[in-house]
Amino acid sequence: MSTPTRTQRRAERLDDPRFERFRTLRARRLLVAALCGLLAVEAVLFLFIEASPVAVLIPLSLVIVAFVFCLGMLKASTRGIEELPADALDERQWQLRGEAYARAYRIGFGLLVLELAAVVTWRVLEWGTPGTGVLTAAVLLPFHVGLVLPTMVTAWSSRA
Amino acid sequence: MAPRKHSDEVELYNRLTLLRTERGMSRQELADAVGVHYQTIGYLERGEYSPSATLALRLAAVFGLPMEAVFSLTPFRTLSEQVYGTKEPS
Repeated sequence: MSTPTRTQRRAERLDDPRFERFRTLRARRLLVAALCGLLAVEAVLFLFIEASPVAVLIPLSLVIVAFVFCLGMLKASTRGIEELPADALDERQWQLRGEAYARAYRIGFGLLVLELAAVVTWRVLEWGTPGTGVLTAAVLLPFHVGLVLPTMVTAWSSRA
Repeated sequence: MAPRKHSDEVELYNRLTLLRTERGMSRQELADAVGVHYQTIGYLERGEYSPSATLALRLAAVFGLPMEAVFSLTPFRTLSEQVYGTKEPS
């Protein structure tokens, strides 16, 4: 018997029956809501990072730890179909993953348009130079959203 | 994500639950035999997922039956109807 590859081990870990309680539609959608909440808290914290960096650093670290845990649970809840390569998925999972990525692309593009609209509005209304916190958030938040969006969309699906 | 339902989408009926139970197979065993996740067998049995031709042929091969004995575009006759020739009261 050949030893399982890294992909097979990852697929087995994500398909662990111990995570079954996170796989109901309600649990998955609650996790998605929690992750959205954490992203919102992260955005708010960045607004205050310039005024009091040390005071913001502690809650920001806690948010990042909670974010990682939440993302891990979310990946287990979807059995990782949004991240596993094709050879670890069957045809139904492959189809679901394709639909989730297409939807995530549309949502992501919509969010990007909103961000660009915010930048244009900022410039047109001449609100002045944004602070470091706003600039950091403008770079980091889209990165974080891009990182988790396919997982969130897959978890939200009733067919995952 | 709600299952997509196009107006021209044809429903595919199957006898998977009956055949699997008849042979005393679990969903996991059937899934392993055709190389899919056991969850996919559940989706197929409930008619919530239509398989590719390859998967449908593999499933039929596991039961040793032609594909049209397992899958159909029209509803299958019930067992009582086939054995006794009567329709179940609706």
